[in-house]
Amino acid sequence: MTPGAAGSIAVWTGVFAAVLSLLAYALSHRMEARKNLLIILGRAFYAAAALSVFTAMGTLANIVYHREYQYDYAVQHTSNELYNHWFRFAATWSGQEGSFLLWAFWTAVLGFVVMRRSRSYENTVMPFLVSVIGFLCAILIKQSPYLLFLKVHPGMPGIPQEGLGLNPSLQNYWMTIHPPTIFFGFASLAISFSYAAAALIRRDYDGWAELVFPYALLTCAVLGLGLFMGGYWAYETLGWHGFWAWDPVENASFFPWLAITALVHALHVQKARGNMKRSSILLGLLGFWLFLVGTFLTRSGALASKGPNGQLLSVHAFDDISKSGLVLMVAMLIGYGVVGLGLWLWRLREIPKTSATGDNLLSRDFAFFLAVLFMLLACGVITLGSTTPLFLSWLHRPPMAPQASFYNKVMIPLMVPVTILMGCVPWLAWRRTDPDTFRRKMLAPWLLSVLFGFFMLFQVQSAQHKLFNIMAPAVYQGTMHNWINPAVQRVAIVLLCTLGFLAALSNAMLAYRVFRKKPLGAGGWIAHVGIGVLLIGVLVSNTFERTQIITLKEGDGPRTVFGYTFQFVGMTGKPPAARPIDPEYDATNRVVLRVTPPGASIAGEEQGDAQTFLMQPRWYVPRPGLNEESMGNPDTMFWPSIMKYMGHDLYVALASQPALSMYEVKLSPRSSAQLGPYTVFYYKPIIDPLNFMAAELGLKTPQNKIVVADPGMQWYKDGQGHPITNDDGQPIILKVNETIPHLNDSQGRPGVVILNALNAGTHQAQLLFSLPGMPGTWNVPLSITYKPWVNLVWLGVLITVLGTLIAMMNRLRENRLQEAGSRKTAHKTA
Amino acid sequence: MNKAVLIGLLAVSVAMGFTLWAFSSSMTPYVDIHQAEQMGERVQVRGKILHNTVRWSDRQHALIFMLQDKNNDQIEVVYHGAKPESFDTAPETAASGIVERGSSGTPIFVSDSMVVKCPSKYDDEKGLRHNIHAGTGAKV
Repeated sequence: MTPGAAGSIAVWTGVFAAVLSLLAYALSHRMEARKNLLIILGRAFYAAAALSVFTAMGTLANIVYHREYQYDYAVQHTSNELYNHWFRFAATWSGQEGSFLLWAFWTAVLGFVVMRRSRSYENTVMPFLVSVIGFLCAILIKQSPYLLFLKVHPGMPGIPQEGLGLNPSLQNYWMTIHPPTIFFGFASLAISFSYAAAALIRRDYDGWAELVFPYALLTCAVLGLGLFMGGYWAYETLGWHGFWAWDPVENASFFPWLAITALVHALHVQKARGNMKRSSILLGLLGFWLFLVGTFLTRSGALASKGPNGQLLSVHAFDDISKSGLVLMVAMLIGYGVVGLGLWLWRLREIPKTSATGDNLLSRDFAFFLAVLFMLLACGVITLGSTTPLFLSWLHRPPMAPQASFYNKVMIPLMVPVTILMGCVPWLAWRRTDPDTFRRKMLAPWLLSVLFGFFMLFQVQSAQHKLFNIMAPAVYQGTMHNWINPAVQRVAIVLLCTLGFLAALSNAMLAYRVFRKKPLGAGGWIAHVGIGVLLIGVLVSNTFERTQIITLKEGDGPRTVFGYTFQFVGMTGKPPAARPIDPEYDATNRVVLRVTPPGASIAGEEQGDAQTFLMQPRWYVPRPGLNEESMGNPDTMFWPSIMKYMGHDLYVALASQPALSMYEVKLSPRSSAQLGPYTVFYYKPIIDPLNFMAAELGLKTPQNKIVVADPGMQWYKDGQGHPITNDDGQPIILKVNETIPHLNDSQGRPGVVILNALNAGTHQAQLLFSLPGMPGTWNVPLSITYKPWVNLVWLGVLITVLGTLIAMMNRLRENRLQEAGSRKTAHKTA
Repeated sequence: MNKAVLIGLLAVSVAMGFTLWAFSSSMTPYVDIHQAEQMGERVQVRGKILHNTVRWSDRQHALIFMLQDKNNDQIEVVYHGAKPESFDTAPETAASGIVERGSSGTPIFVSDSMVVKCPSKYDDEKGLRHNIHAGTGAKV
């Protein structure tokens, strides 16, 4: 059996087994007598469905890894050039179908865990969970990744020997780690949904909270980790100059995180005080549903216009969606929405009505209520902002997406009450807090925070002073647009950082106190510390980063930016020995820069200067013809080079492709010209109207040696031998850089000539030369950014994730103790 | 109790009002080149990138190109910032900025933010055809 057939059969069996499992579990509620048998059947069919998903995943990975180009998916997502085994494997989930499979895979894995641990909930929870697998397999039937290439492209003469390749920005180690992590988080959202729905069916509004709590914390931690990885990847690879751009793909993972974090807080209140029962069930349902919204948004955006940072502009026409698996996505969106909300509304009056706000304003109850409220507000704002293009396209209005400044404008002020809450909550007691005790406990953190505020102000002022001395004010640009007066903005940011510090400090103090008594109990407080640290990092790095764009010219000597001196050292690329005039189309193109930090002596020729270091921003030009998108204009991609210090990052990326200025000579046939010590003879043009044009040249060297060359340009051809034209009907021409034989300089770099233009009528040739003794010089446009305190961002997220995981372990431990306890009492009563 | 709900409601309504304000102020209207020249305020202009005019200016540290809108009007765009990903292959762009007058009085669209329309990957089979015959994809 071919792998494609195996995969197709697997997704079909996946759907059937999922439906059967769902039916068996559902019937077990009705048929009390056969309950155990039906549950066992439900399990068996679940296992079959999960096994189908594993098979589907395995076959697709096999097709992609072994580059089986008879399948369209392999052609679209891998290439012969992709040699790294990890990337070859990770290309499996680079397409839409592959990521649906990854989602299904984790759902299937997590289903086994839930099955084992759900106690009496099994036959109510599992039907919901298995339905997700069923839906995903159905999507993969509708939009199969196992289609044969020739079936998809019936007009094609044969099977390609080469694929279109994995997008180079995905060829990064994060590609192997980030998608599996974030999809684990996404898949686990279904657990909270299933438990919440099961609780409504079983009318058990307390028991579910205990069971779901560890999963909700797991989702929170893993999604947080996934978001962190995505941000770091973007920062390190994509040359966005930042870790967060509020683009729909990021937002689509962020708003479920906010919903699930709100759930965690509501569950905490429910466990501690028995309140917020209605809210927690709704929040449990909400997280998964919002993820479906986000998935639909980003999936339908795969065919749409994108912004510079990939932000979605318009959603593709909705008729195209019905042709793809997205129509089932819509069904999921409506189905889970109606079922979830319907169940909740149906049972709403039965759920014990408890106070959400607590009885006293100065209480932990009220603080938690506000926290949940603010998280939902943030969640709503981000969801609405990201779905704007969707609504506009429904209304047939021109596509528009709110700019990043919109999110900043809303989220930054929202962080003021949130940080105050986080700073106060450790010193608030459940039910009511004695105001005097509260004031006494808050005194030390407040005083220390004010001190920190002054320290920040001092830091900022000195940093500003330093930076403004270094550069002309006209050329700097911050990412946070000046929507308020910069001076006011600075003060506001310092104030907010002070509050962030207060949050981190208060929580750290309580975490330490709790940790000494009961280590696992400190998780939540540790997570809050991380949020405070993260906030400071985000605010400082964004507000006080400065970018300057310069053009570094070879031979012009070093340039100083932000106190760092940049010196052009050279270019690398293929072939390594040759001077890469037109760098071979590959990912190894680098500009090598020698950087001298402030205070160090400027490096001379000697490379061993310990104080200086090399930075190598890279650019990538896909090989023409490898990718249909790159036909004509090869699309370049810039990868930054980052020097990390404790207090700041120096972020260097190419602002545009480096350009080589060469020596230009214009000649008519049978004439010659002097070029420095060289004499150029132009004998005659060679023109083959359908294939190429070239110029026959002779070059007399200073040593009176004559070398010959015939630089030319060629037409790209399609399969029938016709020239390929661009959108304007012009043939696409490849200028071939002619390396002149027997003409190397002392370092072995060859002389190069390019035929830049050849007049078809007069045969006049425009030639560009780079020769030993008079080489062309590189102009390198660089975008240099000074980013203070970025490390706090990464540190903050990691602390939060760690804290959340500790909280999860705590909940697992409590559940275990409780179970052991109840077993003991059950034993006694028996 | 009532006070608590009141505080919650107040917070929600303030936040919603603020969100609406931020939302309306972050949307830049779409206009054509002619309107942009008339208005003189921050707008978005959508049009075709004339790729043979694209150049990097060392002096202005900017990407400069001609943009042609659906009325076939053209304007020079000076984009301050690094070249957006996919710019080279993008047929169209929507640039936000302000029309200013150049030294000779010609209108220049000074932009600091650009949204690039990606070429549709799915209609174009040229590259695939090419791969079938180019074999390993070596240079032609």
